[in-house]
Parts: sequence; structure tokens; C-alpha cells
Amino acid sequence: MLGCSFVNALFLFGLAAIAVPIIIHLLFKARRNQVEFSSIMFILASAVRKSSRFRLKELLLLLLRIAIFALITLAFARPFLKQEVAGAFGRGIASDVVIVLDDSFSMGYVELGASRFDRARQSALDALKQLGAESRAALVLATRPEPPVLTPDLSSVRGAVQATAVSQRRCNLLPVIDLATSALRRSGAQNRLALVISDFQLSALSRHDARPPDDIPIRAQSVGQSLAPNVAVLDAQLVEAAETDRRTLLVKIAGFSGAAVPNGHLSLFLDGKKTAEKSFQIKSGEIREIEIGEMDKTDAPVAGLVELSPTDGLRLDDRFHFVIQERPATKVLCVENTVTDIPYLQATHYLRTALSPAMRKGPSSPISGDLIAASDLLSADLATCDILVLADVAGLTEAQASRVESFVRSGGGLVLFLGPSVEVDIYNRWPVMPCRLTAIRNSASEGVDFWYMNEFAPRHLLFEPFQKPRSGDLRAPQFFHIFGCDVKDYKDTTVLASFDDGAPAILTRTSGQGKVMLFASTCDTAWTDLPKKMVYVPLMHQTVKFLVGVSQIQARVSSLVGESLTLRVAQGLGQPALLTDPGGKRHELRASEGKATFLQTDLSGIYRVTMPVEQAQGPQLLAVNVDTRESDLTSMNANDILRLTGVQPQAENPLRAVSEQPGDAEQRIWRWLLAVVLALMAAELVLANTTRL
Amino acid sequence: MDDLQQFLDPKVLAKVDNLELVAKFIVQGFMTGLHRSPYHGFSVEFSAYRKYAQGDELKFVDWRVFGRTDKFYVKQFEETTNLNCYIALDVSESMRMADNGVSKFRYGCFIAAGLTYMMLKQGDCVGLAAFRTGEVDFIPAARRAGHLATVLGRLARITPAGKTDLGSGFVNLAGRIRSRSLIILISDLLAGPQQVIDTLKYFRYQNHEVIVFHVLTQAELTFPFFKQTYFRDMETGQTVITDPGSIRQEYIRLLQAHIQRLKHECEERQIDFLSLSTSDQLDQSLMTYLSKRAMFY
Repeated sequence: MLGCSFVNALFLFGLAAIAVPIIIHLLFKARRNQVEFSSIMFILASAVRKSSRFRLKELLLLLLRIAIFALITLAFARPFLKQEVAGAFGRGIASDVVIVLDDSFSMGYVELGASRFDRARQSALDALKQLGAESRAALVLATRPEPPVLTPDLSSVRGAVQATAVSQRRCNLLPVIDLATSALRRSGAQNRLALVISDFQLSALSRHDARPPDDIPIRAQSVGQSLAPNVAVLDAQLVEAAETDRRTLLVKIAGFSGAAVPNGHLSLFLDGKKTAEKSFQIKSGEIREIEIGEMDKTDAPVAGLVELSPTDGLRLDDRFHFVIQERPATKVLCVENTVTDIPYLQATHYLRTALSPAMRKGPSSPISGDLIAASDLLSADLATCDILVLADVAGLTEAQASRVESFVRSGGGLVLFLGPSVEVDIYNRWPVMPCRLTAIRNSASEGVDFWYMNEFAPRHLLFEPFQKPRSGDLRAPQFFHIFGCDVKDYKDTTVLASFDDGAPAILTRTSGQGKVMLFASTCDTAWTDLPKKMVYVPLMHQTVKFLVGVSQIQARVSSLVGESLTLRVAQGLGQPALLTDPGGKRHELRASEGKATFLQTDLSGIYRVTMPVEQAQGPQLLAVNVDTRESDLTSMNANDILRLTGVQPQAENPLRAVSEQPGDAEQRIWRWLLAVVLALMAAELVLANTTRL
Repeated sequence: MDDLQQFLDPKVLAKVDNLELVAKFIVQGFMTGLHRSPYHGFSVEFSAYRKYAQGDELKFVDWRVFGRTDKFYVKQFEETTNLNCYIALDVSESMRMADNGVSKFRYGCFIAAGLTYMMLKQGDCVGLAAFRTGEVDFIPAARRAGHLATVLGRLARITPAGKTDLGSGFVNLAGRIRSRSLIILISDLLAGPQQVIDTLKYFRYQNHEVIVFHVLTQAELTFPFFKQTYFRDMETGQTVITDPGSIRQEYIRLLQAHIQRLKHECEERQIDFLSLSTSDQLDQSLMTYLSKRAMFY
């Protein structure tokens, strides 16, 4: 069966343009000269055209002009003829059909008075209606890919389709199509079809290695328009003023698919109260950063929300949830061979001063530094510490090394500064090491005055403050002694900075959930003048930031709908923690190895975790947002999608892959329409200039 | 232009409501334009003498009597002619068509008023026949005092209506005119040419002298329309929509053929035919009348 559909159905609003010739006709009629003439006998004798004929001509001209406008509009809407599901087999013929229904949150986009998901659901029901009595069907939802089970009970499938609702997750269609075609291949039926009903966003087509079998026809049925303007809030970050406790929120907004908002408003809500509003304008394809609101530091966590108005077809991504939660000061524990009473004799004196200046104005220091001797490492409370710094420590005992290793693997940060005391063999046996140490190198003996750092990992967090001009030159510090570092056998090690002769200067690797960073020189002035340079303080602060992953706002990539939430919960608690989702539903969280994981993040919003009484803490807030990669509604040609799945749209099997979104050849109707428009325009020109009928 | 001669311009006269005044203006304007008095030798004969009084024209002073008596005597004349003149004015709806504020009817009224005034001054009898379909508003010819007011008053009350009809009703007019008369027909003659010709022929057969003033507007003569236009016939109500630009040439050709045919038929029957436009000066009509009157005597 054939039906007509449009690639750019929004252009159909242009049909209102047919009012133009009608209005002109009526105005022209109203303004036409009316003359009372003494006698029209000579006019009648000279003009063969009579009133009635003239009216006929005018009517013809009006119809021609309406047709011209209507056809131009239709041509722009790019119509094409679509086949219905029954067209593949013949109505009522027994067949196996797996319906892949896209229920990702972009399907909630409302256009032409209905959401895409409503249309998709209706298409699925229509397809089921056309199946023959012996047919089997199955439904797979794109956001919850499960192997479909074909069933002859079509009414149950119909019920399942009707029961579905659009989710807040994003999807990847390709693995779901893979599941559908695999199930069909196993079915062995003669007539098989995978019907994919989606808006076919580019973002829903992530890479997928599996290739569906060629002999399963796939029909892609698009329910989205190619032009779907949408504005979304991508991100929100706190920006701290340099010398005060005041912070503002930097909100990132994007206009997708031709969206342009000339007069929008951004509202900020803190704990449910509207605290600020700001106007903005955004053009299509533009990403804007808008600073909004002023917030004081608070100890209690604050649930925040930024919201755009006016809302567009997709409301979910017009809101962005976040949580402002003050982190406790980052605790850095410095370890040296010995601890003396004279502070400036300690190797980590410069480091500790740089991290926690004694005479600091403004906000309280976010970092606190303590110093212990290596011999006290076993008795130290590492659980309260975020970063461990080993400064020229000769070597660790097996127990000490094991404890540090366990600290790193559970998420702690380790910084290794080398020096003349370091025992190479002990270090090289240590599994957390990012390299193999070779020997101490002396610039004087190698015939150079000094070494300097020359190459840096581009755009790395460590060097972020130095990227702008006149923001400090990391090439300035001079190194007179360095340790040789061999990274040949350490594949997961990243060299962040190298000396001018190519030797690694700063290295890092991930070990378990923690990070290790190694500086190939000392942290004091014994081997280098780096501590005396201005770049030293920001470099050390960036090191802490990199190792801890400081982030004031909790909503990050890990807090998207559909992804798991991992919480630190103290072990040994008698009662489970309680998590309340944005819908008000409560979930119990059982801790395992100090962590509790929550998997059902189906809703965007603020999740509240209440710890058991034994753990004296207030409620913990977690923000979960929709994945704004789904907000870009730019769609893809269905035939290209089929090619991505590995099926050739023009495959030679009798049930060739067909698609709702047509290829170039199927869209050629618009050319014929324009040809007809040209012919009509010529006819109009001739008729309008004909004085005699 | 002389001050009085400006009153020969219908546009100027259109501003004057009083027809008697209009008639005076026309005739006086016309007279000042002539080198020779039209009254000489026409309809007056010597009657008696009377003493010269201030204001009398010197040309009527009898110089022989002055030579003999040393006193001024003025010759008095007596009207000797009894010319009957009937002004037949078309008062059909089509005469309502106007150009520059002067309708054909109004223009016809100006001619009629001017002629009436002049004729009565001459001592001629003047009658009026205002005609339309099946209806003739008739005032018998007379020259009594106050007749001018009668004729002009009637003209002032007439409103154009109905169709142009030079058929039976108009012909009946001939039955009411017994003596040989001068018939002055003022019309746009927008009827079938044969009907017009037959009527004129009949009047000639009755031995009447006929003058035809064919009055049209400039719009009718030149058809100056450009945009698509609905034309509504004033008399029949019939409409036609046309593009005037495309038919102008043909329209003018047909109209001129109609006029030429009427003119030709009139010439053949010694009928004076004067084609006038509502923007033409009014002296032409008076001159035509005077020329025709001279033929009577």
C-alpha cells in the first residue's frame, strides 16, 4: 500500500501562502474600477469579452495561482510515497516482525501537535494490525535492549506497545537493531521484517561492531522532522571569585537544529526557590555561556535547578539539575625520611607552603598539609587523607608499600618526588610505579648547564593555568639533577611533561581507582629551582586538583539518566541507606566494600540519600540529568542508517530493505512538482495577458 | 479672454445655478465676441419715432430728422417675424454622464437656456420638448413676457432618467407642432442610428428646419480608461468588464463611424449637425442657430 509522507513536513505550514492569491484576488476585485457609462453598445461591439467570461478567466487565474503556491510549498516539503508494512508481504500474510521502538527522551519532542513517541507508537500499532493471523511479533525498546521473543499472541504485543511510555534515557539504535535481526534470523520464517520506528538522530547511532545478517530486511520508519529546533542546557559550573566566598553559576546553553531564541529567560532555583533570572538570546548552532546568580558558601548541600523559558518541543533538556556541596578541605599527607624541628629544612617545606599558605586572605584554604616520617606511615590514618606525597623517601617496607598501594587502588592520590635518597631497586619493584627508575643524571657531568621542561601534554588539567599568554612559563625552571625514567614497559603511563632532551619530567598512571604522579626531580631546591619560580604554586595546586578530581557540582557525566550512582557508605552499618528518587520513590541501598551502587536512574532530577543513623551525616544529594547528546535532533537519512547496520538498502533479497525516509531517488517528486509549477506559471502568464477568450 | 466671454466656457457656467443668469452670460459673452450685431436686418421693422433719451443707442438716431428739426429722434422698430423654435432636449439617463463636472444634460441645458434667451430677445417664439422613453415634457412655443422663466424653470426641474427614445414618442411631437418651425435637437443620440435618421427624416418631411446638437463627453470620445473596468450602462443597467486599453481603438472607430453616418445622413437632408463635447465653448451652438435662422428669411 502506498501513502504519502514528507521529508520536511514543517514546510507544509507554507500552505497558508495560498491565502496570498486569494487575498490579492479579493482586494483586486474590491478595488476594480467601476464606471457608469452612458451606453455600452460600442464597448460591447468592440470587446467580445463579456462579464461572465471574464469571471471565468479570473477564476481560472485564481486557481492557477493557488495551485502554483500550493505546489511550491509541497515541493519544499519534499513529498515521497511510502509503503506500509503490509506492502512488504501483502496484507494479512503470515510473517515474523520485530518492532524496534525508539523510546529515548528525544522522542518526547512535540511537533505538529503530537509527540514523536505518540506517532511512533501509532505506527507500531498500525503495523501490528496489518499482520496476518499466523504472524508472530515482538517488541524491543531502544533504551532497554533485551533479546526479543517472537510470540503469536499479537494482542499481548499490542498491549506492550500501548503500555510503553517515552523514557528519559538516550539510546543507541544499532545494537538494538542487531538484537532484532538476530532474533528474526533464528525464527526461520519465510517472511521476516525488523521494523525500526525512530526519529533517527545522528546521536542515536553510536559505533557498533556487530553486523546484522544480510538476509533480514530492515525497514526504517522515521517519525521525526528533519528540522526540529531545540535549545538545551548542557552544563552548569560554579565560578568562584578570586578573593571572596561569592560564587556564580556558569550555564552552558546550546541551540540545535535551527533553533534560535531571540528573547529567552534563564531562571535559577536553589532548594526550590527562584533566586535569579537572566535574559538571553541564542542563534542556531551556537553554544553560549551565561553567568547567573550569586551564591554564598554553605555547609549544607543545596539542590539547584536552571530552567529555560519559553520551553520548546523538548522540555526535559530545558532543565539542568545540580547540587552544590562543599567538599571538606583536601588533605595532603607528606611523607619524608625524617621530620625535624626546623621546618625549612624539610624537603616538603616549599610544597606544604604552596598548598596551604599561612597568610591567606579570602576563602579558607581548601587544602591542608601534614607531615609525617616514613616510619609512621603504617600508623597514619590514611582513610581521612586524599593525597599522599612521598618526598625523597628512601624506600618503603613491604607493609608500608602495600598500605600505600591499597590507598591508591581505593581512590587515593599518590605523588612521588624523587631525590638523592631514593633507592631505585625498591621503587622499581613497586607495582604502582608509573616507570622504571634508571639512575640519577647530573647536568654538569652531561655537559649541559641545566635541563628545562619543554614538552607538555596539550590541554591537560595540570597545565590549564599556563595556557594563556603571560600566565607563567613552565620552561623557566632549571633542573640540575633528574632521575632517568624508563616508560617502555608501562603502557598505561602518560608522560605529561618532558625535559628538553626528551627525558620524562612528569608522569602519571591510574592504579585501581586512584592516580599516581611522579616528578623526576625533587620538590625542594636541592635539584631544581622550580620551588622558587612563580609557576610552582599553581602547578602544585593543579596537581592536587588533578589527583582528587575536585568538582563542586556533583552533576557530571557519571550522573546521567540510565547510568549508575555510586555512593561511599561506611562499612559495617546495621541498616541500609535510603535513596529517594525525583519521583518520590524510595530505594534501599546495601553497601558492599564501602560503596553502594544505584542502577535505576530512570528520572532526571535530585536523588536524596539518607544514611543510617549510625553514620552521622545529613542527607546526601545527587543530581541526575538527561544526556544532552540526545538533544541534538539532527536526523539521518534512513538508508544511510541501514547501510550502517550493514544491510544494503537495495539488497537482492525479495524483501528489500525499505525506509520511511526516502533516498534521493524517492524524493524526486519535488522536481516534478517544480516542473508542473513552471508549466502553470507559463499558463498563468499567457492567460493573464490574453485579452480575448 | 474677455470677462464676458469666459461665460461661454461650460466649466465656468457649471458653477452658476441660476439658468437665467447662465443664459444671459452665454448670450452676452457670445455677443461681445461678434464684430457685427446679429440683430441687423433680421426680425424688426420701423414703427414710429420717439424722443431720444439718455441710454438710447446712437445708431438708431434718425439723422435726417435731426437735420431738419435739430432734435434727436430715435427710430422705433416692430417685430415682423413669427419664427417658432422648439428645443428638443434629450433627458434620458445617459445624458447624466459628466466630464469635468459638466454632464451632457447640464451642457444641453446651457445650450437650451442660451438659445431661449437669445430667441426671446430676437422676438422669436420658443418652445421646449424634453423627451425620454415614452414621455415628452412639452412647452408650446411662445414669446410672451415671463416665458423665459417658464422654460428655464422647467429645465431646472428636470432630472435625467429613462432611455433615449427618438421613436414614436418623439415623433408624436411633430403632430403638436403645426407651423413650420425650427427644431433644435440636443441629444447624445446613443440609440440605433436608423431610428435617429428616420425621426429626423420625418421632421424634414414636415417641412421643419432641424439643427442637431450631438453632445458627448470627452470620456465617450476618447475612452480614457486603462485598468480593468466594470462598465455599467446608465440606461439599461447592463454590465461589462473589459480591459479598456485593448478595445480603445475599436471603440473610437465604432463611435466615429456612428457619428459620421449621422452627419452624412443629416447633410443629405439639409440638417445642420454639430458634434459637441461638453468641454466645448457654447458659442458654436448659438452661431449655428443664427446661421440657420438667417436661412429662414
